[in-house]
Formats: sequence, structure tokens, C-alpha cells
Amino acid sequence: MRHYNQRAIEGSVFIIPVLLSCIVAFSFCSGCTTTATQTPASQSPAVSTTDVIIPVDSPSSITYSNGMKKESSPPGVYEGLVIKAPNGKFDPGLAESWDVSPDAKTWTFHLVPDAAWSDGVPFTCADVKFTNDYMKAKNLTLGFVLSDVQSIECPDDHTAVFTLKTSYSGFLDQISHTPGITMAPRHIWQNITDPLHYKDTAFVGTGPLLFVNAEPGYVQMKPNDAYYGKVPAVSGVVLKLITNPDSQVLALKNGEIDVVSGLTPAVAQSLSGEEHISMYTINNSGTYEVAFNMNQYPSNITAFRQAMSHAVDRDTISSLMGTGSPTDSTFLIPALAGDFVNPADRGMYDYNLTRAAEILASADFVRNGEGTLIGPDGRPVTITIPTGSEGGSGKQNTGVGLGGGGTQKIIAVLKNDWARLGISISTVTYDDKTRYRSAVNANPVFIDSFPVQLHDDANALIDFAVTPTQETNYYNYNNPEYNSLVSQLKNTSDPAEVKALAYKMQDLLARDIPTVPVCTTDTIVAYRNDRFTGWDIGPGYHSILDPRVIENLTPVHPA
Amino acid sequence: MPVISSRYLIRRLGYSGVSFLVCVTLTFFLLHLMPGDYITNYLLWLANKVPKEAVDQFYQQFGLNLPLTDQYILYIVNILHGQWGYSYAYGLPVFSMIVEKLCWSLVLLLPSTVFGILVGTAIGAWSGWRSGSRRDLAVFNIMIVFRAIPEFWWAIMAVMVFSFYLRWFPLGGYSSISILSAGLSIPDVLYHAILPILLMTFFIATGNYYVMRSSMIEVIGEDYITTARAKGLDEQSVLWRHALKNALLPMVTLTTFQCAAIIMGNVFIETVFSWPGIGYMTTEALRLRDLPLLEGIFLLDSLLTIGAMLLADILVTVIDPRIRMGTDE
Repeated sequence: MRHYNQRAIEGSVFIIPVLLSCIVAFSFCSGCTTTATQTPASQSPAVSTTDVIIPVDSPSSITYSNGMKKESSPPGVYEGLVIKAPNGKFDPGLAESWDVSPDAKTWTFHLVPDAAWSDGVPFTCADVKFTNDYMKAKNLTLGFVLSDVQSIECPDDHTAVFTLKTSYSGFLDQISHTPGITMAPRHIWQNITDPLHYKDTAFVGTGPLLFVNAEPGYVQMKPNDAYYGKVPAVSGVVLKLITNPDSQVLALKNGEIDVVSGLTPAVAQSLSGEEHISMYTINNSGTYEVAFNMNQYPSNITAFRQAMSHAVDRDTISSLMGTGSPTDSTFLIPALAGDFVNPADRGMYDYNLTRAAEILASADFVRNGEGTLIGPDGRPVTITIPTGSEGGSGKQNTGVGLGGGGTQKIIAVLKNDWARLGISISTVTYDDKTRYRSAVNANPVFIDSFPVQLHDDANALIDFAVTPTQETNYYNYNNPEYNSLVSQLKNTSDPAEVKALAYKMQDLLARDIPTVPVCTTDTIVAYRNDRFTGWDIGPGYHSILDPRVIENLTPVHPA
Repeated sequence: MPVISSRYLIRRLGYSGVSFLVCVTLTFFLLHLMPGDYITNYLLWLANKVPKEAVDQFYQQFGLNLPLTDQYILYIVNILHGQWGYSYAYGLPVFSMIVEKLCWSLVLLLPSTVFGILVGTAIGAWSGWRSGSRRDLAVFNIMIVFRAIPEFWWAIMAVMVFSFYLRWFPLGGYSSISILSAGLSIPDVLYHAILPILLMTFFIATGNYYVMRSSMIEVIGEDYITTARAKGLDEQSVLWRHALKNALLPMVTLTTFQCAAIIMGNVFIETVFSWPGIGYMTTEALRLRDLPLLEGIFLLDSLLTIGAMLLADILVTVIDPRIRMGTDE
């Protein structure tokens, strides 16, 4: 008898945990959502066939806290005064036009008269002034973007006059990107005392999209029908979390999503010929450079840098990247910076190892019997290049695929070429940006990748200067003549003068070589052509979540 | 006679408290000594530069300009008051963030851990009991092959075959897009969870299989098994009443630790199936150097691990009455 009871008990040992785990799993399912929801799910509009479904690869991309943290707010909901456009130009945002005083110290923005917050309250200069004052009063991190602003005056509701502490011709650049600044509604934020920990659920903005709903793994938005600009033709935008890039491609193939960005050339190749899938390339969406830390030997020797600029095989590197093109300018990307690129400085440092060896020899670098390059200090020249763990210098603020492993490809080519000059290269990888930056400061050469907005106009050249507000720069480049030119550039708003100064600055960069631009990279985007058209809106628009891209979409089968 | 004396239990609880304090202290100092910090990483990502005034401002706001010992005291005081702080990156309360992600992880890990332990133990016991037979060797070799191939490969293959080609399961995510209009549906979530649960059950089962098989092989060579057989007991009775019970002892400790390890999630599965839970959040927090979030996760992990160790001690004495804790004092 006891034998059978025991068996029954032993059987239940297996069954009870199984049942319990199922019950607990059910109960957890029902308690797993604390995500922000503006509209109760049951009241949210159903997802329509004309809603565009866009994947995001990280939960942080759809975990929103409030509009005071740029990365923690829904895309297309908040807007700035101006929008960065290619060739150093700016498109109107909440400011339909602007004027600048000749000394570039007073900026007057004429605001869009019929812009309104999504709750119906008109957008006025008071919101602009409030954004500046509030960010500074609450010590918000993004406030550094407005650190040059002395005060903002509102002569009327639709005019905002910014007075800067010092002249700054690049002010539009500063407020429009990387990271730029968006306006905050005064009537909402004036009552919020702790913006650091405020969890918004309404996201009242002025942009072309309205936040509707957030559920685990999804965010739903819809067009703002009262938007003063072009209202998107799509009936809604759904962001869907797909953390695995391979699964994004599979989801595109079976029609669960409408677009995938940042494809590698190999994946793009595999998608070509697929039914209902088209692809386009956003040219010059990222850039790579071989940069010198001019405080470290041997990069502190001008001849060494000049020689090494002849020892960078841009064509081979670019072909290894699979997309993009080699760069022959000193720093600005011709396709994006247009007239700002000084033609006299293009192609000065062609790939020529013989020439590199001659320059090195003229600067007391000699080869010993084993072929090793011996520097002026009497020791072999060995270079350690620090690298980030994500291909370049860690994750960059480009929003585009910079070709993972691009840094390693550049280093592989450099190792081969520089070995022929007697220089040995080793690498150390850092998984943390801070450690990586420290290593950059301790070594003579590093590889970096930049968002193209930092290569596309004269303002990008300011980053090479040492000024009272910028004590150092990436390259530890400190040329008084260059610094003086930057000072002049910041003090003028005359386009012709800006261009002339930019040319002079590029002449100096071509001589001093703080960095060697190597190549640009492209972003490959695949989309369902049976769902929407209008994805490709030309160069300079790198993100498929850019409101200007969403505004341009047209459903193939209108509802 | 009780198998655990109350005096021992109190002492054991005291030790657990000390262990917890040591864990919390070590975690705090190790995390703060870690190279890199959130604000520098954030600014480099956001702006490609690190304005000094923004860094100083952040340090002041979050008390990072205080001496480390002062920060530690503040941290302990806050914990004792039940305040886990706010995430640097998300600006949300750490505790609610952990609870939400832990819930999602548990939807996968709880059933898969239970099933994995049961299946692995059962097959391991069966295999060990028939050690040396053709079937045992066949199962043993299959398990070796399964275990030798990395988890993420199996996961990607499963997605390709069952989700993409056969379309039996969704490609990933917590739920289908209907959640936006209809709200969270438990059958829909479970439908999305089936494939990852099956895979994780499979991984956990293979791990438990080896331990149980070895334990069973060891036990069936013991004298008391020979004695049981010599007494004329049938094989089923020898298996269930003598061999299995004793072979299960090492499994108890292993199982309790496996349950405690649930808190750390499974990054591979969470990534492949777009099911970001506590594991994914931990790696993100590490990458971003989100100290309050990391401290919260490790705090909970310490609590669960220490609790599991205590539970393992108690369970072992319940299962095997020969083991007595603190009764010889």
C-alpha cells in the first residue's frame, strides 16, 4: 500500500511544479507592463494597413521618460527652431526665418505664427524663452547646448531674440544637431519641479507626429493633423522592438515590418531580387579618419604626420568597407560640404609609400639593418592604436550603420603598409567610451568615425581650435594662427568671409595634418515596395525615423 | 529530534545577513571603481564631446562629487529606507524597472527552469540507471552534441526554421501588434513565449542531465543498493526508494542555485527573440555605466542567491534525514 502512495506522491512531484509554473507564468504575464500609456489600449486606434511599421533595435529607443531628455522622447513629436540640412544649410523648423547681426552675437528668430502644441495651446516665444531658462535653472544636461546664450527676449509672440555671451557664427549648427535642442511647452513644464525624475505620459509637442500609446515592445504614433507643415500621409507610425538584426531582415521578408536600415553589403546582396523588397543607399552617411594625438610622440612631429598621410591607402580601405568612397579632402566631405571645401587642398596627400619614406628620412627617422624604423629618439617606432568595441570609437551618434568592424579594416590595411615603412602596429580594444578616450589621450594614433554633420560645413572646422570655451580638441591641435581664424569665423556672419576663412583653415590643416580623412560610408536601407514609397529623400537624411522621411511616405494602397 | 536546531537556524540567518552586507559593500565599491562613467559615455554618444560644465553639473546632481565613503553611507541608508534610486539613463525608479523586466524574464525562465530541471533530471536518472546500455549511450551522445553547439546558434536556427519557414511561431517580441488596440493578451504572450521556453528548457535539461546521470551512476554502485537488491526488492522499488532519492541530493543544491540564477536572465535568448528582460537590461546598464540600476540588479541578485543557499541547506535536511544541521551542539 505504502509503495503505491509513494508513487502517487512522486508523480505529483512532477505535476505540481509544472502546473504551478504555468499559473505563475500566466500571473506574471498580466503584471508585466508598467510602460507609459497615454490612451488605454482598448481606446487606441487599431493598427491600420496604412500605418508604417519601423523596427527599433533597443528597448531604450522606446522607453520614454520626458521631452527634456532628447533620447527619451518619441521621434517626430518635438521640434527645434531650425533643422540641419546638407551643404551647411538650415531648413526652417519652428522658426520660419532668422536674422543674425553682423558680429554674429544677436540672433533673431521669426517663429511660425500658426504652430501650436498638440493640446491646442499656441506655440509662442514664451516657450522658447522658457526652454532656455528652465534648462539652466534645473541644471539639465542638455542645457550645455544653450550655454552660449546670455538671454532671450520676446518683443512679440512670434519673435525670439537670442543674445549670445560671445559672437558665434555656428550657433545654428549648435542648436540644430548633435544633439541640438528642442522646444518644451511652458504650460506643461512650468509646474514640474523635478524634471530629472518626471515620467511624461502625454508628450505634448509641436511636431508632425503625436504620441498615442506605448505597450511592451511597441510604440504607436499618428499624424498631427493640426501640424503647420506637411502632415504625413501615413495613418500612423508603429515602432516595433526587434533586438536581433537578423530577425529584422526576416520580419521584412515576411511583411511584419516595412523597412530595415543599416544593412551590411552582404545582407543587402542576399535581399536583391526578393519579391516586394527594394533597396536604396544613403550616400556619405558616415566617415572614418586616421587621427593623430599631437601631444604624443611621434605624432607631435609634423613630418611624421605628413609622411603617414601618404601611407593611408584610402582606395583599398574604402573597397574593404563595401560601401562609400575614399576621401581626398583635408577634413570636409565634398559631397556634403560643397563650396566650403577648398579645391586647392584636395588630393594633396596621395597614397605613396616611397614619398612617405622620403619624408620620414628627412625628419631623422632611419631604417636599421632589420628594416625597423628608428625614430629621432633612437628607439623603434611602434604604434598602439586604441579601438572601441563597436567597430569604431564605440557607438557613434550617427543613427546609421558605420560598417561594424570598420576600424579593424583600416588597421589591417595600415598594419600592412606601415610595416613596409618599418613601423609596427598593435591594437588594444576598450569596451567603454571613457576608457577609450583616455587611451586616445595616451597614444599617438587613433581611428575615429564621425557623424557626417561634423564634416559638412565651415562650423565643423571649429572643432580643431583651442578657444576660451574649448580648452582642447580631439587631436590636441593648438595652432595660434588657426585659433585666430576660428575666432574670426565665429565673429562673422558674412557667407563670403566665412568661406574665405574656411579655405585658410583648410590650408593650415593640409599643412599640419591633425587628421587624415579616409573614407565615407553609406547606409543601405531595404523596404517593402508593396506598402510605402518615398523612403529615399536624398543625401543628408540618415535616419528612417527622420520626420522628413515620414512626411514623404505614401501608402501604395491608400485606405 | 529536529533536523535543524533553532540555534543553528538563527546563526545561519545571521551569517546570511553578514553575507548580504558584504555583497552589497563589494558590489558598491567594485561598481564605483569600474573605469568609465555614465555622463562621459552619454555625452560622447550624444554630442561627440564632453563639456566640462555638463559633467560637473551631473556629478553634483547625483552626489558623485562626494567622497566614496559618504556615497556608500548614503547608499546603505537609502537601501534601509527601501529607496533603490533612479536610473541615470532612463530617469525611472530602479525598483519598478527591475520588477518590470524581471517579470518578463520570469515568463520565460520560470517554466523553462522547472521543465528543464524535471526533464533533465528524469532523463539523467533513466540514463544513469541504464548506464552502459545502448540507449544510455545514444542519449548521452545526443546530449553531448546538443550541449556542444552554442545556445545562440540553436536559437537562431529555431527562429529560421519554426518562425520564418514553417511560421509556427512568431519571429520574436512579447506580443503581436494587436496589443496596441486590444491590450495585453495572455494567450498571445504565451504564444510568443513558447519557442524561447522550449529552447531554454532544452538547454537547462541538458545541463541537469549530466549531473543527474553522474549522480545516479555513483549511487547505483553503493553498497546499500546491492543490499536492497539482495533483499529481493524489485528494480522499480530499488530505483524509486533507494537510488533516486540519494541521487537527487546533489540536484537539490544545483536546482536552488538555478532558480536563484533566474534573476540574471538569459541575454542570448532575450536578444534573439526580442524579449528584453533582466539579462538584456543588465548588459545595457553595464554598457552605459548606469550605476543605480546595476546596484539594484546586483542587490536583488545577492538577496536571491543568499536566500537560495539558505533554502538549499534546509531542503537537504528535509530530503535526507541523515543530514542534521547544528543538532550536535
